[in-house]
Amino acid sequence: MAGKNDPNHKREIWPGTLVLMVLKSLETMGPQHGYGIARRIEQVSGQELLVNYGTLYPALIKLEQEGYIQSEWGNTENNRRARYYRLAPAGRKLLAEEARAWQRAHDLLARFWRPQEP
Amino acid sequence: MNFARQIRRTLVRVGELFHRRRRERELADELATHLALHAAEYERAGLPPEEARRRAQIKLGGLDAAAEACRDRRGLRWLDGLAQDLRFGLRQMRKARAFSMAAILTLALGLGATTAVFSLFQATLLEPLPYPQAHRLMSLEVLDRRAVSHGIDFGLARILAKPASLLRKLAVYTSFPAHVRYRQHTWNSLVEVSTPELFQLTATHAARGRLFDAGDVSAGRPVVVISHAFWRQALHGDPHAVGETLGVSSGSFTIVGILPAHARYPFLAGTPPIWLPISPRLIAGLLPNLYRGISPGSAGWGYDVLGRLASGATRAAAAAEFQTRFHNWLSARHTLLYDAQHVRVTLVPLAGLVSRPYRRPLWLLLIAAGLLLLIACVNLANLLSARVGARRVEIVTRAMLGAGRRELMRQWLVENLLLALPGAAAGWGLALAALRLSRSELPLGLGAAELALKPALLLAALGAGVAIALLLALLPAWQAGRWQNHPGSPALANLRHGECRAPRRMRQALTTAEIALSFMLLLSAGLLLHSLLRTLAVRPGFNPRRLLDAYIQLPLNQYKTHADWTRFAAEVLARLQARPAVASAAVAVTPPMLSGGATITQAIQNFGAHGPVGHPLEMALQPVSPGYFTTMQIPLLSGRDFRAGDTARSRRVCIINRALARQAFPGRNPLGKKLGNDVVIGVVGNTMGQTLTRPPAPGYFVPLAQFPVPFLHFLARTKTPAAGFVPEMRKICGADLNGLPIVIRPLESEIAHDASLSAERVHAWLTALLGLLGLGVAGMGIYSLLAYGVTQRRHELGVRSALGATHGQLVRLIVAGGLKLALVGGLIGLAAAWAFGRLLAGLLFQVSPGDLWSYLGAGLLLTGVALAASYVPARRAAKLDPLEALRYE
Repeated sequence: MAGKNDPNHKREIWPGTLVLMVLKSLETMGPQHGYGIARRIEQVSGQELLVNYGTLYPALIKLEQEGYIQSEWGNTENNRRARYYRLAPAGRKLLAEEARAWQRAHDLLARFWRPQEP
Repeated sequence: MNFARQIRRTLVRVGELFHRRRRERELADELATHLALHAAEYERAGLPPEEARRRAQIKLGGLDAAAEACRDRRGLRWLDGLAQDLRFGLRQMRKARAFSMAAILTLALGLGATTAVFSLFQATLLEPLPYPQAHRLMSLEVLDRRAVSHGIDFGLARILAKPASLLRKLAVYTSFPAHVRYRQHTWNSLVEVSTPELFQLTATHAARGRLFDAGDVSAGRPVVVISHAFWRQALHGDPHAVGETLGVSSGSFTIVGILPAHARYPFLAGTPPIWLPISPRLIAGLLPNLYRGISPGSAGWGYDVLGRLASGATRAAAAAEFQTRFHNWLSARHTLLYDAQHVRVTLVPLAGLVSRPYRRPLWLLLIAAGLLLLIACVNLANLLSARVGARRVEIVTRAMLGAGRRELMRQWLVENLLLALPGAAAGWGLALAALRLSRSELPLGLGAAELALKPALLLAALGAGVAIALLLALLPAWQAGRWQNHPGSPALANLRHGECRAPRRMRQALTTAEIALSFMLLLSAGLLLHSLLRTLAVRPGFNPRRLLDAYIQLPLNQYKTHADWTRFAAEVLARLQARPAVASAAVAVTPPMLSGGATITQAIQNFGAHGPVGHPLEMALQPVSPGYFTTMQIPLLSGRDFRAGDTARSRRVCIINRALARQAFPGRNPLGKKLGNDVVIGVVGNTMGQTLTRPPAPGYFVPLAQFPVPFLHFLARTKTPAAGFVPEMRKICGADLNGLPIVIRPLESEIAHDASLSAERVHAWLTALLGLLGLGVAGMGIYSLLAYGVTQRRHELGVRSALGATHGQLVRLIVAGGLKLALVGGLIGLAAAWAFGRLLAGLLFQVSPGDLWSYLGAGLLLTGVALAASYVPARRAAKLDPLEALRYE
């Protein structure tokens, strides 16, 4: 990969975290199409992350198959046909659990980063 | 990950196998929308539409790759892949028809042979008795000092058969051959006499009518139970048979029942028997005092005692009880028949007893079939390896296009399964056909009647086929990996030239292994066949040429006294001797090969001044008339033959054979010495025992006049071919018998069809068949290797031919390659066979495991097949047009 050490290059999303970001985006924004979700993740990350549709849509398919999200066809403001995803009750629960887990992991790591007491 | 979610996801994916077209359209729409929305954003930022779309595409990456990633998540991709592989595999099969046929046939042979032999093995060795809890059925054996089974006396049998604490139910049974009459027909049949407990022990119920019971025995009712086979074969399944009268020997019995087809007593295959209840009165009538001279007051030897061991009881504990009982019985009487100090009573599982004679040959057959399967597998690997070589361009192309090892394996696995499944099915067919044939044609001994392919066995064969397919699918994947890593050949162009050395060397090794294995098989077959030939060539100790035997059982109501029997024999003999066609004639009771296994065993204890000397001598007692040795052409070594003057009132005399002379009078002249109560007057040559492979038994001949018996074998040596004299013989012997049955047999054909050899014959031929099949498969291996080599070396051969190599030189080049393989394989096989031959030693008769003829025969056969298999490709090589061959590149 050419841009791995390039500081200006956008990061690929860590495996496993995309799912969380998708669920969180849906929770915040309500029903949203794929493009909307991608934009939201990129914006929230301050353009740090790049969401490719080759990674986004397979993840959406898997989430739907597992019953965490649901989808239906609708129209955008510009009257384009698009598939809208929304959070299913199971997804909401998963999000809450995962958020707690990540928070705990973050807190734990943060303690390690703090300078050690002599 | 949540397990329930996983299941849900899988179910959803299965559902997604449907409506695929709609889903595909939706996916395209969704991705297009995403692209369009992205482009729209660039447009809003001021880019022209074309440029906006281009930038969006660059940022988002390839549309097709994304769609493919999504498709991977939808439905069951492997199923689509499988369908694709199946279509491809079928196309490949059609393209390489010769290869496919060879592979399917090889597998069918290997699996078919193994399945058939294993079901034989199962029926005979694993489940020889079709009765509930058959493993608890125990035969009581009285073993002598050398652990040889002693006969059981009827009196002893009755004592032993009383219920014991660990064997609550016991039965006594024995058998003898007799004439059986039904309406106008007569047969020579095996008659079993048993106590009613025999049926209870084996939980057998009558298929029609009833079985005899204790009431029949105590009332002495003349009843008979017939076997299903006897009913079918002799009575032609007469539906009114129950209630009819069956004549047995000189008595008449009422048929009360027919046994079910599965019930076999006395647990061995053979003549379909009939059963009579044991009762003293019956035995007195049917088994006249044949044994009177040996054991006064008893009804003779040869009884079997069978019991069912209580659950949880050990054999040793149960045997101890019978040992006590036996010693109590022995101390209460004076008999020289049992050597009280050394005789032991043991319990032997009936199943083992029944299957014992077949154990070694069947193990051998099983090993042979396993070897054939192994050869088949090696050949498959060999064929497949050639196939992989031929398709290397395709394999490397696939690998370069991104097919992983797993995908390669899956594709080859599918192709292998396409070969393995028909192979296994054809193997089933072969096994079924083989078993059907063996049921009707081969006297394989017990189990043959129940031979059937068990479904579990069929599944096992299928499983083996699939396992082989799976294992062999590793080969191409491994090979592809090697090719890819091969430093010199990343380019396809390189692959197209010649072949890499490694697969060729591997195929050579595989072919060598095939040759070695089939040499081993061939050699075992050769040893067994040679042993069979030796057995058939055994000099029986007498001359069977133009010798006729007429067997007569005298009706005891008509011939009541010993004098009657003696007179009958003398009269018939005189009439026979008067015929010009008869060179000489004599009477015997248990002549070798003819008495159907019946022998009269006698034991004699020598006594010195201080009690018994040595161990009791056991010998086969044979009452014969004067002229017996002349008629049989058994050499009289010293002394004289019996003569008319040796009668019941004269001095008791005997003639012994050389084997007995050596045992009873080692280093001394036996003439004039006493043996038991008889004076030895002559010594004759040995004859073979009841079967050809038994060593000559100590033989003890007494004058028929001094030991009268109502079962007589009249023996006549004719001057012309014996068959022509049969009607006359029947007339002479049967003149006074009012149509009583007479069985007449020429001895020559009796020896040729000795029933005791049939099992050995079958085993030898079956092993030979397996060996030949193995050789055929190995020959196919040599052929395919060389044929493929010729195709590969076309260029080189063309160059040689262009440079002036003659046809002969080219043929020699290829044939030498084949012979080299055969030589190396043969040498390895030789070493293996030498070790394997030791295992065979116990099955061989007068043939050592290192038998030169077998080695030579197997070697010649192998060389012949190797030559033939190399010659065909060699000719093709020689016929190559050099121009054509060079242009091919």
